[in-house]
Amino acid sequence: MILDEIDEKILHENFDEEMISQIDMDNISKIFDYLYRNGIYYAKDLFLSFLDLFLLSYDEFVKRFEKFKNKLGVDFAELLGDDLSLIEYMYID
Amino acid sequence: MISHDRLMQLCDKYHINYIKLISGNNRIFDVGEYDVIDRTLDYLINVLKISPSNIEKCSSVLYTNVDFVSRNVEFLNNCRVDFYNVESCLHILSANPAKLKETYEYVLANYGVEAINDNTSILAVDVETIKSVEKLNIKIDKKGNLLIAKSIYLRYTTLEEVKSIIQSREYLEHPELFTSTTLAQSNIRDIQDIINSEEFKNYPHLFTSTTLAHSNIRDIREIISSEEFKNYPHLFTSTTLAHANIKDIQDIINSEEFKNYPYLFTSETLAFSNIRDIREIISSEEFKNYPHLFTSQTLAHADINDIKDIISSEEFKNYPHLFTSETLVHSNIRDIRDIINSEEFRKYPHLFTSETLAHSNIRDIRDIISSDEFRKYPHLFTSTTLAFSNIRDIRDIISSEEFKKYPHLFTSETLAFSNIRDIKEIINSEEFRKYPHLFTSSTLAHAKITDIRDIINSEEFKNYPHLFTSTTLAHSNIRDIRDIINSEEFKKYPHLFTSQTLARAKISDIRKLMQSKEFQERPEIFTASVIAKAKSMIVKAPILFELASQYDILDFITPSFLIKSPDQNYALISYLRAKNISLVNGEKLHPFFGMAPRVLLNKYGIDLKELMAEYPFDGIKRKEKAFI
Repeated sequence: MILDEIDEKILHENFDEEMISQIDMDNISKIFDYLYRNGIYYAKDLFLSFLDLFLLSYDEFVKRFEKFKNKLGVDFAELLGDDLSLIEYMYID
Repeated sequence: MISHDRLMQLCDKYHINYIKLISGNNRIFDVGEYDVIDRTLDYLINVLKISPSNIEKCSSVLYTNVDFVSRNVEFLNNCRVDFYNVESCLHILSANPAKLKETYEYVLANYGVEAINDNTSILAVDVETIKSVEKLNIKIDKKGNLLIAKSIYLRYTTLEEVKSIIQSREYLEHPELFTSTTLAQSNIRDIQDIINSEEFKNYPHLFTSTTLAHSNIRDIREIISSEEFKNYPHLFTSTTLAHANIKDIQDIINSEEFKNYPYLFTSETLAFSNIRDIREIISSEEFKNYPHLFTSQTLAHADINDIKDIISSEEFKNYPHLFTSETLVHSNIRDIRDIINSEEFRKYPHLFTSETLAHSNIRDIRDIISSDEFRKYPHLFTSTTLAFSNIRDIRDIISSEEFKKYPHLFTSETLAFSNIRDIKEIINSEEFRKYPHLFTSSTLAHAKITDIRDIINSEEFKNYPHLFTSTTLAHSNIRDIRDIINSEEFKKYPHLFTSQTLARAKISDIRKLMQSKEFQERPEIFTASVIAKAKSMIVKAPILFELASQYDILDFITPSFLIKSPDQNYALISYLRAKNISLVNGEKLHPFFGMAPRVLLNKYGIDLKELMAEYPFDGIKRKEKAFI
C-alpha cells in the first residue's frame, strides 16, 4: 500500500501521532491482502478512517472481521462500502 | 588557543556547522589548538567516517585528551560495543584508556553488553561511582543505577542528593513518581515543592516521574495559572509541564501560525519547540510545497536545515515514496544517502520503506542482511524488522528454546519490538499457562510480564473479562485500565467502552471529549469507534461541528461524518452544493457522506481526492469566515 500526499493528510487529520507511530506495515499488508480477498476493494479508505482497527494483530482483525461478515450476511462488502458506520460491529467484543 | 576565524576555517574544511559546534561551549577557544583540532577532525571524519553532526554535538572531543582518542577507538573496536553507539557520545573517547577499559569490563560482567549499547556514555564513568550508586540499593530497574551514575559523572546530581531523595517521605508515599530518570535529574527540594503544592493536588494527572525529573514548582505554577492553560487545556500534559516554559507557550499560542494551522499544534509541539523554529518551518518553501510532510511531530522535533537538506536531495526526487513526515523527524540526509546508495537497497528494495529510512542506519541493516538468520528465516525479516531491531537481539531470539517451542508466537513484529529476556519472562509465566488465548505474537512484541501480571490479577479483569483481549494486554497497562473502568464516564456510558477503548484510549482524553460542547450536544453520534479515537477526536470534533453548523446540517450528522476528515467532508459538501443537491435527504444526511470514497468513485464517478483539490478546506473556510 502506498499513501499519496492526500492520504497522508487525511491520516494525520484523523489520528494522533502516537497512534500513527504504531503502524506496522507488515501486519497491515497482511490485513489488506485479507480484505482484498474478501472483496473489500476500498480497504485503503477503511485504513484511513479506522486506523485503530488496523493496529490489531492480523489474527485478531480476521477474527473480528469474520464475526462482522456473519452479522451482515453475504452482501457485507457492498453494505459496508455504502455505509462505513456499519464497521461499528467490529468494535463489539 | 584558537580564534573564531581559524576555527571557522576548519569547520568549512570538514563541513561542520560552526554555530552548532560552539553552541553552549566556548571552552574550545581557550584550550583548542588549530593543529590538534585539524588532526583530530581528519581522524574522526576521514578515517573513522564519523558524521559531522555527531562531532557538532560533542566539541570537547576535539580538545580534551586528544591523545587518548585513537587508543580508545582501538580498544572499542576490539570489544563487543557497537561502534555506531559510540558516535553519538564521542566524549567517551577522551576518557583515560585504563579507566575506560576497567568500566567496560565491570559493566559487561554485571549488566551485560546490552546495557553498554543502550547507554554507551557509561564508559566515561569510573567504576567507583557506579559501585557507590549500587550500594544505595534503590528499588529500580538494575540498569537505572547506570543512568544515575552517569548523571553524577555529568554533575547533574550528586550521590548525596540521590540519598536525600530515597530517604524522603515523598519517595515512600509516591513511589510511582520516582524512576531512575527522576533520581538522576531532580533534587529533593524541587520534588518536595511540587508534591506538596496545590497544583499537584488539583491536577494529579499532569504530574508524572517526567514532570518531577525535568521541572520545578515555579515554572509549573506559572503554566497552570496562565490564560493559555485555561483556554487550551488539551495542549497541556505532563510532558508540556516537564519540558516547556510559559513564555515559549504564550509565544506559540498567540502566534499567527497557531491560528492558521491549529492541527499542527499538540502538547508535544508546546513541550519541545519554540515560536522561532516553528515560524522558520512554516514560512519555508518546503512547507509550502510539501505540506503533507509536516505534522505536529515535525514541528516538535525536526530542524529546518535538516529538512531542507533532505527535500533538496537527489534521493528525495528519485524515491519520493520513501519520504514521510516520520523520515523528516527521525533521520538526516547523510544516513538516508548511505542507505539508498547501498548494495542492500538495490538487492532487497521491498525491505526499505519510509520507516526503515526513519529509524535505522546502514550498518545495522548490513549486519542483519548478511546474517545466517536472514538466510534461514526470510519471512521473519520485513522492513519493520530492519527499522526497529538489530542482529544481536534477533540472534538471541532465534537461537532460543522459546522460538523452537512456540514458532507461531514469533513474527517479524516480535523480532522488531521485543527481546529475548522479556519473551522468556512472558512464556515461562503462570499467566501464559493459564490464559494462552491472551498471548499472541503482538503480546510478545509489545507487552512486559509485569504489566500483564498486574492486568490479569486485577479486580477489573475478574469483573469485566470481555474487555480484555490480547490487544489490551499488548497495548495497555493496569493504571490506565483502572482509570477507565473506575471512571464516572464508564459508569454512565458502559456501551461506549470496548476492548479497543481500553487498548487505545486514555481516560483523560475520553473525559475531555465527553465534557466537550460537541459531545453534550449530540452524544448519540459518539459511538464506541469514535471514543476509541478520543485523543484525535478532541481536536477534530469541534472543527467538524463548526463545519456542520456553517451548512445547517448539525442535526443530521452521523458517526460517519465524524469519522471522515474535515477535508473530505468539506469537499463533499461543496460538491453537492455546486450541483444544487440538498445536503439532507428527508431527515437524513445525504448517503454520500457515509460511503467509502472508493465506492463513490466506482459507483458514481465522484473522485473525492479531486474534489478535495478543487475545494480545499482551509482556504475557503477562512475566506467565508472573513466574509461573514
